[in-house]
Amino acid sequence: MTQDEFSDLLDMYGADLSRWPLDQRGAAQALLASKSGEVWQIYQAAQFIDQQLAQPAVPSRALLDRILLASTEVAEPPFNFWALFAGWQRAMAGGAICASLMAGLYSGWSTQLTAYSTVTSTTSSITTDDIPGLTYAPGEVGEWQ
Amino acid sequence: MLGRQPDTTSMMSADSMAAPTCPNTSNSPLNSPLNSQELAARVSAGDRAAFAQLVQLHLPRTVAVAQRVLMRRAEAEDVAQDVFIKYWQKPQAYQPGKALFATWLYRVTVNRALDVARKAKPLPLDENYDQEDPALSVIEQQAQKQRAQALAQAVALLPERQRAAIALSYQTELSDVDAAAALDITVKAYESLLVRARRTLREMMLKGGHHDAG
Repeated sequence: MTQDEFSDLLDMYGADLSRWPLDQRGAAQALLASKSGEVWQIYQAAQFIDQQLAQPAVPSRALLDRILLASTEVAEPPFNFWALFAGWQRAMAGGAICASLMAGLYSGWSTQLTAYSTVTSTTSSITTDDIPGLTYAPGEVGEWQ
Repeated sequence: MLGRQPDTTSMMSADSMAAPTCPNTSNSPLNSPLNSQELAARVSAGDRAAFAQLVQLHLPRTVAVAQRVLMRRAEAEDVAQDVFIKYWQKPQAYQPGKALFATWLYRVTVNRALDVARKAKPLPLDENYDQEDPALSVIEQQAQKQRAQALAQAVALLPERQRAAIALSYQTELSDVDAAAALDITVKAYESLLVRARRTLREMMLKGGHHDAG
């Protein structure tokens, strides 16, 4: 590995060799082991840059409080039921609600059917003779007396 | 792929991000009992406690990302506050089906910080832009401070897009794919921004004789 190749890989992957492609790590380590002053300077500069840029920010507690206080001063977002379900959960919830509606409809419909068939089967076996005072008068079509 | 591999499962599990590159993982949103996706869903339903938890989880990285772009702490904190308050006012701006909450949040933060950076007049960098290492001697600390200031000045000279790429790469756990999406560019373009930024910084540090990692 040449010094230029080493520099290019440093720019691509940073100074942490464990993040380099496996087939390049050995050559990079060998180059560093050669203790070339210039290679080490390049490597140390890259290490320093990585270390500094990765320094975390520690926001003050005051900032958190400020944000939470400011959020109380603005209107709350309107309640959104569907927002409780994100992504696939929303689809699942929608499906479950549809399924319950369908089940309810089917159950109501089948109950009605059962009731209707019970009534029709019962009434079909009843004759006018079974009902006192209810006689059919020939000649007066469609009228019950 | 640079640095981290693309996280192809990111849409399958909430907050599933690639391996972090920076050491500040103790406060990682990954450790939250409720993940950001679930919290965001509750915020959309007007849950203030979920909002507070979400702010607490993401505030450090949000400030860090804005600070890398703006180079000034006070402005970075203002951007973070603005981003979170706007989100509370209009939580439906985040659409869970389209991106992870963190990807969306850092995209909004970077864009807001870039807006502020474009409008802001150039101001001197913060005196204590980078933190000191208490383990070093006074002389070493002084040298470290000088190097850190030189680097901060070099970062400030980078084009805004390169600063934004650096902010996402070093301060968030986003995969290259998500970071590129946050900047609305291709992964290749994102990688190219990072390479150019690192090269420029390294060359400037070497030119100024600031190569010792201390």
